[in-house]
Amino acid sequence: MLVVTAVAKRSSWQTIGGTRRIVTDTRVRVDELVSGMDPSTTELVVRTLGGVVGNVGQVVEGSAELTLGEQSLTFVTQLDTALFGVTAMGQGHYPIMTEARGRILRPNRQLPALVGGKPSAVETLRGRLLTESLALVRAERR
Amino acid sequence: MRRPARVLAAACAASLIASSAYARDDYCRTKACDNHVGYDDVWQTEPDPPCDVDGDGCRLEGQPLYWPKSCLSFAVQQDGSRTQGIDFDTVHGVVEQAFTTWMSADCGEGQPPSMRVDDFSPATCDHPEYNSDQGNANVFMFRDNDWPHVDGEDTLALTTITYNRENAQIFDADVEINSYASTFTTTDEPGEIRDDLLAVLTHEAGHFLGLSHDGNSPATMYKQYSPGSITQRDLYESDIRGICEIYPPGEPVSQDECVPRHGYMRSCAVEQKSGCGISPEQAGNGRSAALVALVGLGLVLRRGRLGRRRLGT
Repeated sequence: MLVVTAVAKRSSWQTIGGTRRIVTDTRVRVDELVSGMDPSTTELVVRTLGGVVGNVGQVVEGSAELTLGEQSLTFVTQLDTALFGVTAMGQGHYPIMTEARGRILRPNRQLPALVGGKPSAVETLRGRLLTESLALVRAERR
Repeated sequence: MRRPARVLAAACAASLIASSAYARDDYCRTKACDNHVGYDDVWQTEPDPPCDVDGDGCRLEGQPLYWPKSCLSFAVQQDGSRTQGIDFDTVHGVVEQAFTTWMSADCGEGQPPSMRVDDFSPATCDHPEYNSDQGNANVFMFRDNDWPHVDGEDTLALTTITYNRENAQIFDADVEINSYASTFTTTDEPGEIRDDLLAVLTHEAGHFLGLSHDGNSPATMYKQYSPGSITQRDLYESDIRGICEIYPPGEPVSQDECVPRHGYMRSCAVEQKSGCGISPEQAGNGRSAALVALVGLGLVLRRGRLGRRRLGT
């Protein structure tokens, strides 16, 4: 789990699970390493589904969407040596917004895909202060 | 309060629609708010322009995606789900029912949305794809053997919509059903329902039609599903407002066949290139469809020119 800022991105057609899809790779700067990563990590690439290549766009309901220049709390899963995905798609990405009471988390632009069973992390974390959210997650991981 | 779409009184629906122009849009449309045109190996570093969202994460800006000519088609993948014991006929009936629910929404005075849905089933292609230079199919398919996306256990189904960046017209839509990590049921027996296929696919059909998630927990388009629930089988007020405002009743609907972009292709592109594909004309001949009038819904399922079924106005 990381606090990151998106610094660059590119979209391209890639084959995933036998399917040609548009994906967006976002290079993120690691602002704060919360847990579960090599402490020396300063930058990584996060892949999300959807994007635009030429005049063709693709939307995948539920996929996370990282915006350049925006800071977010992001849960990542390693896909390859240098490539990460957002854990549980849009449920694992929380843009950080500064308000009078501090830095708070808001839900991802693309709300989660239709999910079932478990209590939604989105409902738990949205609108919470970043510091409060980090404490909650760390406590959950202990 | 929940209102099953098919029993809404005309007067009640008319009242809903009349007031909706002044109400907050509590449904959410899928919008393209594309910030950069991406190309392989070119990193974009210019900051994205704002693409504001409301408190539920629904985009307030961007072009709403839509089907050209108020007309779409779907095809159900022919294999059904072997691991879940759901055959083609069963899932096909469920998908058909899901679209019927949307197309029979009462938009006022008994009028349905101005949208036609053609059924091109079955498809043989078993993965989502969009072909820019050959035929396509808008496929509902199970994923029995793998779920190629991150953290499969969190997702019941996934809809991928491909569109024209210049005008937001939808080119293609495909629905993957996560039978690899979920347990779908098609029963009405309360104690036996796990992940209700009809509820899930009515939700995904809403995405297919251009709706995104909304924040109303009883709505079909609510983002979450509770195992055992059939609530999302039926449309809620916000769902009805959404479908009726995207496809307002009385608007012209194409009388041509709703052929996917570049023609209907039952098979995946690779198969076609290797000589295993079939032409659009061949594809439609394998399935019979009876002329069925659904009394009271103003809805007709009828044979299309190529032997396909048609739903909606």
